[in-house]
Amino acid sequence: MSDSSKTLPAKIFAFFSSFGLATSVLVMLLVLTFLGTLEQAEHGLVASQARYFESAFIDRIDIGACWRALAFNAYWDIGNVSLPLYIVPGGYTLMAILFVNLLCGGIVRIRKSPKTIGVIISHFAILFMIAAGAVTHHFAKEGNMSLREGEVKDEFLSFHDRVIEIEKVPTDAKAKRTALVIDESKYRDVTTAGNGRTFTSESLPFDLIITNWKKNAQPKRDADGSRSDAVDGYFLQELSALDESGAAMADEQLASACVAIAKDKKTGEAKTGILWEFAAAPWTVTVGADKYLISLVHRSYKLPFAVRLDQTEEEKHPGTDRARRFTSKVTKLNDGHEEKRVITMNEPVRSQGYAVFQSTFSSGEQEGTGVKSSGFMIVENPADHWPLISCIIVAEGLLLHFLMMLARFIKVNPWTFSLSLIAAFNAAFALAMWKLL
Amino acid sequence: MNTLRFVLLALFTLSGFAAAADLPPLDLFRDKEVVETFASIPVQEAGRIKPLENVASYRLLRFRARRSIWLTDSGEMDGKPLVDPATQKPITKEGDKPVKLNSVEWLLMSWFRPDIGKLVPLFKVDNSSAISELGLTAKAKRDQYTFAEIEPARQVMMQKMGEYRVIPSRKQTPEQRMIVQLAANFLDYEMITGHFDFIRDPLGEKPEGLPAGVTAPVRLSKSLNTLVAAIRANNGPPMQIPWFRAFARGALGAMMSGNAEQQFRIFPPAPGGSNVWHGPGEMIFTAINGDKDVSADQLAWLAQYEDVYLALPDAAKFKAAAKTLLSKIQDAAKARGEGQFIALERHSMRADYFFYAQWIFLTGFIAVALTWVSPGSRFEKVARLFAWLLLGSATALAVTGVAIRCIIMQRPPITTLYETILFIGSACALLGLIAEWITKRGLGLLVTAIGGTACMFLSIQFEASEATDTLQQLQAVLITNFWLSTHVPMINLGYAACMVAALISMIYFVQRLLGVIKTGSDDARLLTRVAYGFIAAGLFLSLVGTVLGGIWANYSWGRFWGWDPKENGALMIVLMCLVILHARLGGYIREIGMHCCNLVLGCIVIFSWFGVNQLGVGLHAYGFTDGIWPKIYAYWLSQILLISYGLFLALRERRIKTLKLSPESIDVSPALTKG
Repeated sequence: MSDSSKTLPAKIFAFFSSFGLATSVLVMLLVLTFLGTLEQAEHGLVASQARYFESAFIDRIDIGACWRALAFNAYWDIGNVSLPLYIVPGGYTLMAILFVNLLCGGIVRIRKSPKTIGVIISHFAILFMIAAGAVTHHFAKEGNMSLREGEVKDEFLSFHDRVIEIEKVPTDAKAKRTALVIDESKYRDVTTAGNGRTFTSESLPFDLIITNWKKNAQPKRDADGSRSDAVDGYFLQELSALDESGAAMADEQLASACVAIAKDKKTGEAKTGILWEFAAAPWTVTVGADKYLISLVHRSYKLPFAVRLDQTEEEKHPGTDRARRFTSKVTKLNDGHEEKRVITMNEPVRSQGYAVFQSTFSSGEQEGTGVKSSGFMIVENPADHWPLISCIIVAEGLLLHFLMMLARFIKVNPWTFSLSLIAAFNAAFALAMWKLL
Repeated sequence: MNTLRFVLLALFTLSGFAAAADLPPLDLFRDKEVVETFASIPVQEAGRIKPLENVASYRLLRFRARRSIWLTDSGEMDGKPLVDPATQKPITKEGDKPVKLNSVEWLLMSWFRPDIGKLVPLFKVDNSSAISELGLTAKAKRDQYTFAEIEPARQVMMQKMGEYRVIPSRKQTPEQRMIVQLAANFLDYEMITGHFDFIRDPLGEKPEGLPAGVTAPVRLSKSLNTLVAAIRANNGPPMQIPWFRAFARGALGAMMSGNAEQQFRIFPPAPGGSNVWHGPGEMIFTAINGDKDVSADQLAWLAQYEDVYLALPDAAKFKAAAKTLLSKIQDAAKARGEGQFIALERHSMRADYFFYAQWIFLTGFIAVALTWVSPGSRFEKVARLFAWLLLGSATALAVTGVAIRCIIMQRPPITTLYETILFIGSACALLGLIAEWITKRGLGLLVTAIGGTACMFLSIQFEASEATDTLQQLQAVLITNFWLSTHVPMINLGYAACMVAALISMIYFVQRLLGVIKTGSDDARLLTRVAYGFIAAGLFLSLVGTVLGGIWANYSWGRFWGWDPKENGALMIVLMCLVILHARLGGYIREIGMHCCNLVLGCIVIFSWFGVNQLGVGLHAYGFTDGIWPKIYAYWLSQILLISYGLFLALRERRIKTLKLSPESIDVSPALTKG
């Protein structure tokens, strides 16, 4: 079949269903995973995840960082070398192409015969898994909630998503809290004092201009008044995102900051302030009789119920400081209803679409409070159970396919051989689940 | 408590020797009965109950990278026998041969005859410039030093350790790392040799200012509470008390390690109470730091322990006291339902499964090589039978060793990087045997022999370089037997299958190099098909294993995939397997191409097996090891060479094909037509 005899749609279909596309996309994913892994050593998980795995296109590769991650610098230090790219597809694009390729090639175009049943089943399962990934990426909320014993909360904070919150101080103290939110992605490119971006909202009497954003910074006193970008005698000093040993600091240790200018819509009068993640209090802007609190914070989500931590315990391996288990007794508070639940390592509590996991524990000694506290990871994910389903399907599909191949190789009946082994495999797995889970 | 300990460490040199006349003969501590008794004593260390033999063995391994020591001036068999300071006679056995001590004998010597212990070349130093930095005379680049040789530099060494230990380990120079390590080992050995000071002279040789009711000779089992009360009643720093230094020094020795987890704990508490065992040093320090008296049953344990030491130098009494101590500890542990696998653990230490497996695998390799000598002959058949027997029994040994470890710890086989090596080694060997059983062409045996030998060798090297107990307690998040027995073995079996595929491709290229096979020949096609089978198995195991890991993470701590380096490593293996399968189906790679890709796959497996742990980031970073990169580079380089050879072969074949296909080329090439 020569290409010239095909119509254009047929050609496009042939391209999207080809082995060539599959192979190239897989190779690119492989390379990208490798680079994204290496860059984590200096850029941290969150940054390399954003650059390689969740991006439509990869803007650049930090060759120097990858070089040092492989410890090649012990022989030859190449310094800071970076390769600008822009048009190379990132993880998001590649996954999308892979999805189309799998659908066209692995489900539609593939020869349908008893020999390919296993492959088709596996392809279908992988499609489902990619879909689960997409749903999780777009719709899942996750974050953490730290509770001291006796404390009640119904909000949790995103791990990595930062936002600027603008909250009007309510005149009535009992009124429900509402706030306007600006996502970090909308302003993280205005990194110099010169350029800024204006955000406006009908409900606000002022426009907010964000400028001079820094990923990790600290307000410093402008002692000799020489800084042109100083605000009320303070300027933002950028800090390294690497710790003393040259390793990337965890994302939650970084404190982003920016300069905000509130420009009165009527008078044009401008007020300037510094927003900083670790600031003790929000920046207050007064317009007429109204007060607005503006702060740079982690995005917060509301739970449909409140959680009270009643008691939390840490169990250690005897005679060591190694944790063996953290356990928390909590009460779920919902419209006056109280429900006692226990959360422990590997055993979360699930309720109303949310899952609450035990993640950290503190005895309160370090903080000097002496009050024990627990950190909980909270997740709401519509695709929560999809990977399990797809894992079961892909396992059965691949087993069927490869066992039939093996059967033909050792010249026994493929169906009897593969189906009986699959049955044995499933039985063993079920037994393990029954005995151990 | 830690601060107190470090202050004391910096202040004192532990060295209480009894008078030469009272010293027991060294032979007593080489007596089978004595060694057997002490080796079996259950000890709680790093959160689990283990035989004292295990403690002794890993201490010695950490100090000198081996589990035995010769009592000679070089620490080796060929050195001159040491002279016993008590008798001034050389330490030899029948025929004037030097004496070799196993780890338990060495520990007993260090406890009861520290005067000899300090003369044995014990500390292995890989970097002589570290010794020069301490102001001592360096011997060879890599050499062993005695305690007595290092001792003059104690002050300097402590000061340097204080400076260097705060530097992150990535940034330490090799000398700094060596000094920190040497100082820690030196201090630990100092505590070992001073272990019985708290019984010998708990308050120093001639204690002054003793509280009322305490008279010499002081026994802590009787006077501990009175002494501690006197310390508490003292208004001012305890150092003012004339006997306090010696008292605290003895307690340090009794503790036997500067590492809190490795404190010497041998007294099981009564059932039902705390699950932390007590030890002599811990008992004294808890009493000093707390406000409660030491309970009567704890003092009874202390008295029991004192009896053992005070029975010396009478051999019969000493043996009896040691046996009584052992049976009391065993009974108390049994009453708590602990220590039931002590005997099994001692068996597995003595049987040394992986060490013997390594040598039998190697012998098996020789047997496989002999099958190549005269193919088709009777000799080949006999050699093959031997290979089967040897490799089968080596595999059985390795598998048994892994199984025993599971029984001792009551958990699935893999929880540490060391255990992945054992598991993957055993799995490679087993997979090779299965492949041989199916194909019957000698290939599987070769895979078993190479894979088994390499992994067993690697595991032994790894254990010596880490020198900590390889049976470790689990992190809180990992305590779930279901996932540990599905996800982890599956991932590791995936590594094993992919490594076998890579190994087959290495065999392929070596055979090409030797001219044994050609593209498309029968043997070459078999290699390709078997390698393909292992890729398929590798894909299934890696893919399902990786996804299972994600599901574990999702159900246990709420995230399916976190782009963690170890996860990425596993994903890279899956992707490479998929690349190979799809590129082959698409016709982009054939025989040579597939083998080249398999070698790349092997490089990826090595990266995700060992490499990602070195990045120092991520949740799975469970085994950071210094100096592993050069070994990874060496592997990668060897593979790059083979791949280059593969590319050269592919190019040459393409050229020959074009030559054959085009008729003109024959015309313009007279050599070909004439030939």
